[in-house]
Amino acid sequence: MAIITTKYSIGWFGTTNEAGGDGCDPFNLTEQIGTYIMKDSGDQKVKEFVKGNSIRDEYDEDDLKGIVIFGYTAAGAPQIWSLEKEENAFWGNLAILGDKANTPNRSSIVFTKNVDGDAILACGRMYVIINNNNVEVDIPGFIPSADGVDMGRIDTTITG
Amino acid sequence: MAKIEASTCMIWGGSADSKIDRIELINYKNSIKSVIVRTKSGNLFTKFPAFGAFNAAMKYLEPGTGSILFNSNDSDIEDLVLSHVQKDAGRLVPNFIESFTTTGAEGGRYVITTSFKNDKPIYKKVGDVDWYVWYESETEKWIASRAEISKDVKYLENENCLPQYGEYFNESFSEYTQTAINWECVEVTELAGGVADANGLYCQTAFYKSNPVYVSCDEAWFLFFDGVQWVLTDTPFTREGRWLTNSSKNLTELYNNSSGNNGSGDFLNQIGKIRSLGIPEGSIRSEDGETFVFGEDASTSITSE
Repeated sequence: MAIITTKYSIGWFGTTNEAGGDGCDPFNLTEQIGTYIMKDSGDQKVKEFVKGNSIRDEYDEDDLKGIVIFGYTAAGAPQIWSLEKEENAFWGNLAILGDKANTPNRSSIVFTKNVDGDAILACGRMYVIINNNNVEVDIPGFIPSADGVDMGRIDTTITG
Repeated sequence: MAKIEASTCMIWGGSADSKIDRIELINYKNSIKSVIVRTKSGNLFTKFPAFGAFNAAMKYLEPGTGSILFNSNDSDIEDLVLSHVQKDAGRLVPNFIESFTTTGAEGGRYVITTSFKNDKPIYKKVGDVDWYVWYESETEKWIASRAEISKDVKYLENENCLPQYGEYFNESFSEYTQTAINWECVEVTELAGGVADANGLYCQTAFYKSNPVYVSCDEAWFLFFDGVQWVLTDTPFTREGRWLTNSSKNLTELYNNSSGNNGSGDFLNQIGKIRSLGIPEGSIRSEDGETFVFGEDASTSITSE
């Protein structure tokens, strides 16, 4: 686990445990940092921010929009998660979309995800966290690195 | 060995099953364009391999460090673990404990942060009152300070060299004394000569193959169970460097290399001793003298009875 206290973090997600490593739980960014739901407001549909469970009261939506997390695919393409990605993960409101209009479109978020379509930090991956607004958030299982500090070795025999 | 094919990837140096050396970047100047690391002060820093010949800060990729690598040609680089989002590449066995707990008036659970000071991570207490635990290189002590990372405020000192063990005390602020609990620590003694630096305090930081890993104060020595016996080594988790084993499932059994078969040449004729540092508050263990006789969790592997 690590409390994010710096603007930039490069780290490994997932550590060993006494059970042999199976105890690594993905960190659900959608649930723990924040997301949006679509609500009725008269004749309109409006997006409403839902603060994540790991976020302290003192931080608001704008603060959390400063968090950007990314990793790379095997082909070298970046995959990025941020609160703005969550905000945009809805079908549009055009009539042509029919029943789909204003409903969640989780496929628009291209990131490591769970079966529910929530964005997650998945075990056994490295991520970069950019924390533009200095939001302190605890991410269990994330171990930061720093140049010149030996933070440990990877046990490549334990995978999910 | 990591085969680097993508133009951009993330890498960690290195895996637990082989000896890791720092990587001299200039040797890869024709394949690696640049490498981005996070500095200890919290910034990003770009290393250009071609500049490594005359800029010390750009010369190496160090073991136990993560970075973003930008590649121009395919390359095979030993000692690296490649990470990409589609694949679970394993679990980190950290050299520093992720969190620890203290008791006391304002004690609580301290969690590792992404900030570093004097080459070691800073810990922050979870809760209403901010306490930080950080390493002071001048005194070689771990300091617990209230509200900020400084000795200009109320602070406590730990006489021990690992943050998760011992008492944080300052006579001027004795009402804030905090005592670490639930630690798993041992002391190595009796080693001499060129391996005398392996003596000292070791505390558990993590697990390797479901057994506890103990790390020395300077993160230079490790105690791990290889599935058959306990091994003291400076090259986790291998015997490719300096190593000494006790040929026993009992952590506190003598580490006797009089025969020359139980260790590397550096440990020839050495007989090391390991003793438990006792039962911390909150532990479900019992002891007989210096020997563990009962442990209910991972410590079971180090029981002698």
